[in-house]
Amino acid sequence: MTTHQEHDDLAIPRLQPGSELVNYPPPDRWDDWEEYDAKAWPERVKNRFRLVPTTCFNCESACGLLAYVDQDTGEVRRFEGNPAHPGSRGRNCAKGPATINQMYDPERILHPMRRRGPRGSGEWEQVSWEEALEDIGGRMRKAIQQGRHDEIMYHVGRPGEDGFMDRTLKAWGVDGHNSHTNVCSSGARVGYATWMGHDRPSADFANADFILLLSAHLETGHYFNPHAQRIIEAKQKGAKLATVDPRLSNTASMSDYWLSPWPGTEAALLLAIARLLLAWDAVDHDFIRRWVNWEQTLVERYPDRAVTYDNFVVVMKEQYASYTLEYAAEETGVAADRIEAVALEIARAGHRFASHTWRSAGSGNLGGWQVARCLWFLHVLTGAVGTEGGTSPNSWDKFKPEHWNMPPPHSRWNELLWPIEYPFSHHELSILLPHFLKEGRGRLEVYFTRVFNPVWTYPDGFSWIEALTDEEKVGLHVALTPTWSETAWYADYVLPMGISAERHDTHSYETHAGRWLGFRQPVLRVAGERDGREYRRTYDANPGEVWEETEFWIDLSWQVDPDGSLGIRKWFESPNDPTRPVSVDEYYGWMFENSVPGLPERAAAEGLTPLEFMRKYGAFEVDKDIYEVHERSVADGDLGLDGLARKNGKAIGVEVAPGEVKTGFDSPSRKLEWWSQTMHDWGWEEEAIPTYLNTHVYWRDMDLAGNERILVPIFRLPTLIHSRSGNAKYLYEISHGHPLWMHPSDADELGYGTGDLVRINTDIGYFVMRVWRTEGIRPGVVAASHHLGRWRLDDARGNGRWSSALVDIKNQGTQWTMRQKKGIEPFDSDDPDSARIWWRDAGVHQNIAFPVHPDPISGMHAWHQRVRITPAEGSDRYGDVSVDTARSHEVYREWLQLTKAGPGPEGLRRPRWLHRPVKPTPDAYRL
Amino acid sequence: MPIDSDAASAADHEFEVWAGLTRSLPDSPPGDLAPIEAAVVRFHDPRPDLERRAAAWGYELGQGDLGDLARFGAALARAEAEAWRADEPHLATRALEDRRFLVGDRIIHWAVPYLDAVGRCYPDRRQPAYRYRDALLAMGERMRCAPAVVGREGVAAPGEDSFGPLEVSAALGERLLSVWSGLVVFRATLESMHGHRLEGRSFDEDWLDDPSFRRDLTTLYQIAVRRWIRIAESHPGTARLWLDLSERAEKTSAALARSGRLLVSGYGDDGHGHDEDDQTHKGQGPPEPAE
Repeated sequence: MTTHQEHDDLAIPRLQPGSELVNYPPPDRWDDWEEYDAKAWPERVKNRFRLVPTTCFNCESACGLLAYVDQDTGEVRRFEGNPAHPGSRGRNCAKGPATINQMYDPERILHPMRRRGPRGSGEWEQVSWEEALEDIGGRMRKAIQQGRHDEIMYHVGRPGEDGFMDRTLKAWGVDGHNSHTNVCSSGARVGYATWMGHDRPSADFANADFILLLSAHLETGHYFNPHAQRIIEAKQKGAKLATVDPRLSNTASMSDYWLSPWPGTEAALLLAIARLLLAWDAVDHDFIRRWVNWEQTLVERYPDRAVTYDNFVVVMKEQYASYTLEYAAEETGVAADRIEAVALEIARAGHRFASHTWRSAGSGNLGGWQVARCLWFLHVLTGAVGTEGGTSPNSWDKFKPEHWNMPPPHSRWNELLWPIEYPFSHHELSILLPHFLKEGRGRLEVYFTRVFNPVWTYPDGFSWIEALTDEEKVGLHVALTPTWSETAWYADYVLPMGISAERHDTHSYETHAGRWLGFRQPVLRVAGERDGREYRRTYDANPGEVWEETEFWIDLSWQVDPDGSLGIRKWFESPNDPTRPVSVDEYYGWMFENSVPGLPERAAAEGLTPLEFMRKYGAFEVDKDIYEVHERSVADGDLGLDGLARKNGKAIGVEVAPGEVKTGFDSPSRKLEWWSQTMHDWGWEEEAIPTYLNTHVYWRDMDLAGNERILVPIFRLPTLIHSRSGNAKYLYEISHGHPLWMHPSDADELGYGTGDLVRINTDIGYFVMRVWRTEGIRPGVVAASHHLGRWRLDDARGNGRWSSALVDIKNQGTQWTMRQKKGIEPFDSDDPDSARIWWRDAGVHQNIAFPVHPDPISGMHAWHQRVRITPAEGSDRYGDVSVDTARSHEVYREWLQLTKAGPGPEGLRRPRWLHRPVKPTPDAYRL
Repeated sequence: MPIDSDAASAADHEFEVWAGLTRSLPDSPPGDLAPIEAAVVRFHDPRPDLERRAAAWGYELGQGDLGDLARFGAALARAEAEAWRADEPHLATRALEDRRFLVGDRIIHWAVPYLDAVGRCYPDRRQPAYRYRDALLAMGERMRCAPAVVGREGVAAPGEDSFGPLEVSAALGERLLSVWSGLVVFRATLESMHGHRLEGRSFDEDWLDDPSFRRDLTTLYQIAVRRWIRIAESHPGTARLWLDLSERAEKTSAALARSGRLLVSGYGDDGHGHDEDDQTHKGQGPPEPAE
């Protein structure tokens, strides 16, 4: 806290408010916390609670929660913030407290279920966990015994854990990690990775003087709580905030500058700012000279130039000379004085310039990855890299503990996940899985979808339904899920998995300039154990038979290899008794004891073991105020002629001045790579520097005089979370319905008023929704949030009735239609609130009418759509969807033509330095 | 852009009021009740709450007496004024909010009765005491710290009014020495009624056996009833406090008039103020200690 006690003649001090949080129950009373029951008023009824910390599972940021476990009933009564959590600091968004809805949802899946009729028919029978494990494990064992490892795939939506599944897949020897990343962040990741190897930014918002967000989406939704609270902190100290977004988002509305460019032109805007910074000489030459690969750039890209730093500056000025303010204003549609004002703010802020982009432009556009690259360029120019108030690589602010008994990497390469056409894709080409299966590139014997709902979340959902209902392509579909979902409906097993208060995980995220480790735990089990009860498995403590994945994967691995002959079981045996599976306490106890610096000492100071400490507090701050990690000296590497210091063959540092070896970054040169040798070597020379690429929804190519518009479909509602909030009544009461945002000038031109039904025609079909006239959107652009449009095929189950419409799906050949039979209605259940539902609009499932748009470099699905908006036709109803999956396959093929397939240099499938999940051995990279 | 409004000027004005109060505080009556909430109320310690509020602004809390609180109020008013001018409305509104709650929660409910009693009991301190009292009441009007609410539902916890628990199982002498009885009674008052000099501010229950002492004390509380109602009528922004205080004074005077001794079990048993159906204050066992 900043305090000024300058007493004047009246002895009245000057004050500055602090930021300390107060009013939380003190941890020493968490085990027996008393308070009056608010609902019992005017009677004074005392309740006694055990407060058990855990972490939220609803978005990625894993904020701390405190579960109030009633000592009398043994039930959780509510969730509040955990003040001991360094990331969230006791604060939560609406999604945290709504965990109580998810836990006690009257329609919750409480027991393992197996389908009886045809897949997707909705006929289920309850089975025991033992039966499910035996069946699934048996099929996996057979596949592994027959060398069909690639037919086992784990596809994750919300990971919520860090490292456990990597370990599990390594132990199985399976290259089967699939993720949702290419509908999420692959674009931005490639933009950052080509600069520095690290694939995300970590902004020190709280200490910034100027904050530039190209991801209102993120600060509104995904990382909302930990980031927003620090952005507000900075604003309280005088920082200015700018948001680049075609839509007036919540964040934009709170900003000092709202820049609303044509979607896909953001890179032009950023390069115009870069040009101004260079022209004003508002750049940190010392930093650039020391940390940018300018010598390599001049030698390789500009061989006719003398290798001097001054020449490098000249080269940059020449490269961006055309990005004048006038050009940028014309290209982006943002007024020149606005762009200049933001450039001035960045120049003034210098090292205290923080920024963030994650999805937004990076995930909306063909070439969107360059937006992140151009944004980071501004940091490089100003030297606001790793500084206080600047932005660091994410991995500096994320703590990754070692996992116990880690198996070695596998040596396989799964072409269904890492196809040769996309050597630079940051993560798996998961959106293309149905098309790859359709083309016969492979099949799946056991396909796990884990908190993952591609039928609804992904584009092209009908192609997913086609794939999932074809038992030749997908032998066994196992849905591990805390809720019903559109995808779980097409599973063979629906296995209920715990939410934040019902499972063990560890995690750490880049919330600020510090590192912490969070520990999610099943609160009813922990509270019961404190009462002296013993549990064999977590499902003995959770509601019904809801389980947790840590124990599930351990037990499943034993089923896969019951006698140890496959070499798998050994990785899951208890270190104390190899005849039984490792326990959760043994697993995480080892981690906290052996790989979290400072934790054993801190725990000992309180007379606790490290595991007891984490169970008590739910989080541990490893270190804070982390800056300029790249400047840390390296003493123990062998310095090579290429200037890199290596240890055990791995680069760990770079010589930045004679005799000065520093850690640097994770790029091949360990410097910041303005020009990427790797991209050049793999045939992408034009894209090897920060540049502006035309999007697939480039506004000049649109028939804006007619009825074509750019659809922005990727913004979030801050109170919902993709699929998993469907059973959170608090959240759906707040957010339901998502109209099509349309500027009044467009609405007048096209002849629509608020509430009018329109057809939004995409490249593969159309959907029908209502118009909302608003000045909060750029003319020429329309927008509809995702998160809404949930549906179910059965009146009683298949999705939360709090949030889904009952629909009818019809299919003829490759033609699919969906029609809502009814919207949301009140229903009878154990929860009286279900009879009080007053909202009716479930929204429209727009994503299912989008074709796949895989960016040829990043693999990111480019979400924005070129759409034609036409009046609804006579028989059209709200929520109607029509799609031709043959056409969607054609669009996939069209985008595939944009790629430059490997192998690259040395016959590699992919550059070895580029990160990927569950990295195989180096030889696996060779084709 | 700095916000162009009267808010900064209003905060300036309030700063001057508070600053003026720090300059013209009435001297604390020697050997008598000090102007500190804990002493005037006696049944709870507000210190932790004050420390929390002070810490939120980095204010170094002193004794927590009226002078200290006036300095804190002045500092908050200045912080507000400066924040409006610096285009920091988030700070300004927070300063205003914290000052409003400081006045409403930690000052006005005990300081007004205290200053009122100082003025009546110590003529030489009357002017500054009344000036401070009236300034607080005027601030209470502007901030509307405790407006009268029909039915009072939800305003106070069950079994409490805006001052705190209605039933206190403390010794009789303790209770009469608290503002919770409906009045602040100074040592000098007790001495003048009893006719003897006291060692300190204390109350001997045996004095109530003296009919003339009991009558005088009862009259004192009966007068207080009317006075609080008048103040409530002229100060709607804090009327709830004074109406509650008048009810407390009335119960005290009724109990004194009837039995000569206050019932240790509390006001609820005296047949005044609560009917048989009112379960709010009955059958709940011993009262909870105030926090």
